[in-house]
Amino acid sequence: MNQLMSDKRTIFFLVAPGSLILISMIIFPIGMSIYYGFTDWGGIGDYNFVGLENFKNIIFNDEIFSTSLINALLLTVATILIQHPIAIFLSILITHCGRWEKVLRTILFIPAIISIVVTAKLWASIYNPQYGLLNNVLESIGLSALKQDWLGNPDIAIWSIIVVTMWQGFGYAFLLYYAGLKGVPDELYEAAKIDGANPFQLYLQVVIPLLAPMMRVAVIIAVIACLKQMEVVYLMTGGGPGNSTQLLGNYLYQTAFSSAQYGYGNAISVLFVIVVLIITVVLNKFLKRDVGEY
Amino acid sequence: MKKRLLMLVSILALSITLAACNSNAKGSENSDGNGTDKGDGSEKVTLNFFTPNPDRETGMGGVEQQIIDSYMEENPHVTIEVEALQDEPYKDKIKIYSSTDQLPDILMTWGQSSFIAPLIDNGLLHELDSAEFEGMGFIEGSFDGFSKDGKLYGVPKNTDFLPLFINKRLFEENGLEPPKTEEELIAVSKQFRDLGINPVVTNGMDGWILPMWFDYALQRETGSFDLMDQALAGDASYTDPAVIDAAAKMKGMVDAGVFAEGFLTADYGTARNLFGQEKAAMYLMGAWEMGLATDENFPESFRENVGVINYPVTDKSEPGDLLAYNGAGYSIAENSEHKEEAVKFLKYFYSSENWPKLVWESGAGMPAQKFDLTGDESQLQKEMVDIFNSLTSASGTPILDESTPEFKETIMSLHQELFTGELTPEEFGEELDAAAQKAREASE
Amino acid sequence: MEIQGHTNQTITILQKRKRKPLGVGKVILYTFMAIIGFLQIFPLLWLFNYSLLKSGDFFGDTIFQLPSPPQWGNYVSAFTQGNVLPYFFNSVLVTFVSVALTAFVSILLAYAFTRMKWRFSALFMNIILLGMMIPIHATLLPNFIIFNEIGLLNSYWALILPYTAFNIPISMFIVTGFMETIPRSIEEAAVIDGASIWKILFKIIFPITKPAIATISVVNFINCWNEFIMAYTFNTMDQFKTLPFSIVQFVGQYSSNYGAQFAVMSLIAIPSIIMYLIFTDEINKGLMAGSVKG
Repeated sequence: MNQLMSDKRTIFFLVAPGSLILISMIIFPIGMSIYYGFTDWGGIGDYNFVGLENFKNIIFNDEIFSTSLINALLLTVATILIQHPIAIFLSILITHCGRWEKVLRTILFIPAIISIVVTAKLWASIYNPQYGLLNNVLESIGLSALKQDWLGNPDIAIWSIIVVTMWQGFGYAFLLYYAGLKGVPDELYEAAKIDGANPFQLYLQVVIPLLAPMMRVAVIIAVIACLKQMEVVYLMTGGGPGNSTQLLGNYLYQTAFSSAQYGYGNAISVLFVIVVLIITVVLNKFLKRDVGEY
Repeated sequence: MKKRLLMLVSILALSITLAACNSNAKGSENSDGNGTDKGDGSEKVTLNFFTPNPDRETGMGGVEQQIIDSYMEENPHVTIEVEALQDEPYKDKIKIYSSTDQLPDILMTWGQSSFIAPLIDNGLLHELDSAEFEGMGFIEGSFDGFSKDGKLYGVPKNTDFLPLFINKRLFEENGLEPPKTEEELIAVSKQFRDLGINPVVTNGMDGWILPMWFDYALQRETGSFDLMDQALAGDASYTDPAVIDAAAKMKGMVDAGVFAEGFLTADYGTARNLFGQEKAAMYLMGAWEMGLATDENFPESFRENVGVINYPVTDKSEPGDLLAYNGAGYSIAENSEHKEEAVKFLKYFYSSENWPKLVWESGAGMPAQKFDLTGDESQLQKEMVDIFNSLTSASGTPILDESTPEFKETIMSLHQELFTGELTPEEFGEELDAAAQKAREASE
Repeated sequence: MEIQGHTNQTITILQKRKRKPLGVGKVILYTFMAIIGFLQIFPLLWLFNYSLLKSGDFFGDTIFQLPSPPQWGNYVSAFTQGNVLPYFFNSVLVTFVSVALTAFVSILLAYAFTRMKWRFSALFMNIILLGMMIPIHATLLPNFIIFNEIGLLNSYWALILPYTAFNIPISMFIVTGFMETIPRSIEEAAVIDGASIWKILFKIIFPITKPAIATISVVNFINCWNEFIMAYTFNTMDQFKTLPFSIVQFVGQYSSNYGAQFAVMSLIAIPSIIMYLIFTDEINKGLMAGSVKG
């Protein structure tokens, strides 16, 4: 058995196809991108090596980079603190919905299936200050004072964007927790009932702790997805007004392509990957310790 | 076992199909390559044509396609392959093409530094002989944006200027007069607001319209378009009181509600449709929107009542001081294997019975060449001609396109920050100066 | 298997409960879930509704208005002007090959990481997981340069290879989690019978791993099906374009045919929804088992 499982030839053939694709499509291009990060290349023609200049400028002088980073972190934190509790709550409720369970489960996942182009258009019309649903609803329930230019007001815009991304990504978080709940053995529910636990105690003290491993997976996936998020902003505000909704992915794209600062854009993407890396590693360590082995 | 076999077989089959498709593509490329050895001129030639007009049925794209089709019919040895993307993806893709020296044979270019200068400086565009295009009635100065050091790298296709579109029905029904001065514009906007009608719509999300409006605002303040260019060149400053006043005036107009709510997040389609669906009284957009009067997607009451006026003035300026320029045109790639064929096509394209005539007749835009009025023009087209004929001074390339691509991005977002109140007019001027300074250093 | 046992048990319990008359709690629960469900399915209704409207109806005061009469002509325009059919075929081809290739490669990798014993196993796995954090935009230009060098531009592979590469990390992650839960005793028996690794992998492990494969396949399907930035960048010839290009034909600067635009979007959304509906049970099984180990 052992001999068979450590046969080098077999391992090579198992790992080779995947590695080949990843090396040629991701690792090698990223290597090129790191290389360009040290140059002042504009995308065409000659370029000079500028050493760490790009990186220094991004970290010390680039306000848009810090705005984008803060926005990305805000989105991440909001997703974990708001979207995930709701996802857990709904996945618990849905297990009590009897024969409607399956239908509801499917429906809850639908926003995640539909192309982001469509959902961005939908939300842009909901937020529209002139004919948008949101302002109409506020007015009809006598809360006209709360009416806003939801995407045009730089203080609110990022929150409007956060709502959209949370709604769009809700399906995945929900599905993970739902699957986790379904994995909890029924005996546990029975045992807790016999012990006289009320439903709240049952869930808070027995079931949710059992979801911890799933939570770790879901949180890490969410963190990566949030930090990489760009499509919603790209389609709904273009990072505006005045960069107030800028996110790292969008900023990197704009710099490298629209502003024709390819070298600088690549330096952003290198820093971006480093930031994501640090956050996930720290989070992974922290969650592992907190949750313990299960 | 059977199932697995089936799956393997089908994957295999797919791979083979793919391989076949690939080799087909390669095959046709090779045959293009053979076309390079110039024989009797009947060798097969494939020209790649890249354009930002994805709608190949109507508008500019429709006219382009019409000429391409008739050219291929008259010259059976030539095949023209069209690739079309929307504006923004088009510009991004041009950057990717140029970084790998893969520009298509014929491409649409904008005769503005922010776009064409990097292409020219890196020797990617083929130098054209202006004599080839003589006698085609090109408007004087229209080649300027496409030239550098006396050499020509592109041929303009449009005359663009920025008027103010109006919905006459909304004005008349409410007893209002189209604004002639900036003050009247503010006043009439307030009246429309009170009536629950959007005053001016425009595409603030795309960003480029805002600095174009700034060109007007400053011109109306100083009486000339020069200060803007001088400040960019470093001969004057954007902290000049006139600039600050113009910025404050723009901010004042935004605060007074001249623009419809949400204009900073409206994209091109939203703005255009709000106006076309009669939800707004005015539309700040380029003359290329002449097609509004014939767009079947809009109600008839709109099409019959859409009009256009000069951008409002102050006592320092004339209505005929237009933000006018020759923006778009076509260029030929230096690395093209069929430059001669491409030039032949361009000459055909610009001949008086093709582009200038067809684009005017279709109502898709105003050519950069002289053209004859047919008498069948829509009312909107006639008004547009009147505005153009009123020209007393022209701005040339709008400020945002006169420098580096980075400057363009910066100036667009500075405007948004000014209008949302994140920047004061003074800070706006300082930031502009800094951006101009940076752009000057970069282009040295 | 064990997992299935639990679900069946849950279902019987739920069925027993269902016979009881509806309590107040249940009514509140159902109402609440119905509202949530409606909010989630709304974009879909909105999308189909708008695809049947006249362009002029889009800017009405209400966000939802029934089309009268339905403009089926929008779908005709979509088919004729949007080149829907040829692009649809390309989309199907590219998506299916990418999904199949990803699944195949991910199984091999996951097996190597969960069962085989080799020195760099953990390191390798972490490197591949890093792939999740790479922003697509950082690889656009390098990949264009590479494809150009090796003559892959304008081919199906120019999309299949990067799609596969970007889907491998998360897919491998999910399959690995699932494989961890498969008892090793199954293989031990096979090894004693003298089976090779390949035989074990394809005849024993593969059938058990199916739920995980279904999960990743649907997720990857949705990703590939909706992807547009790489599709714009790597393909220029009509012959190889995928469905998202059809939207471009309509969202063009000089076009206001909103109805046809939404008809195209509906056509793009339908296959994703069908895929999800077919595989919804499998997906849950896949995620569930993954959650046990995390």
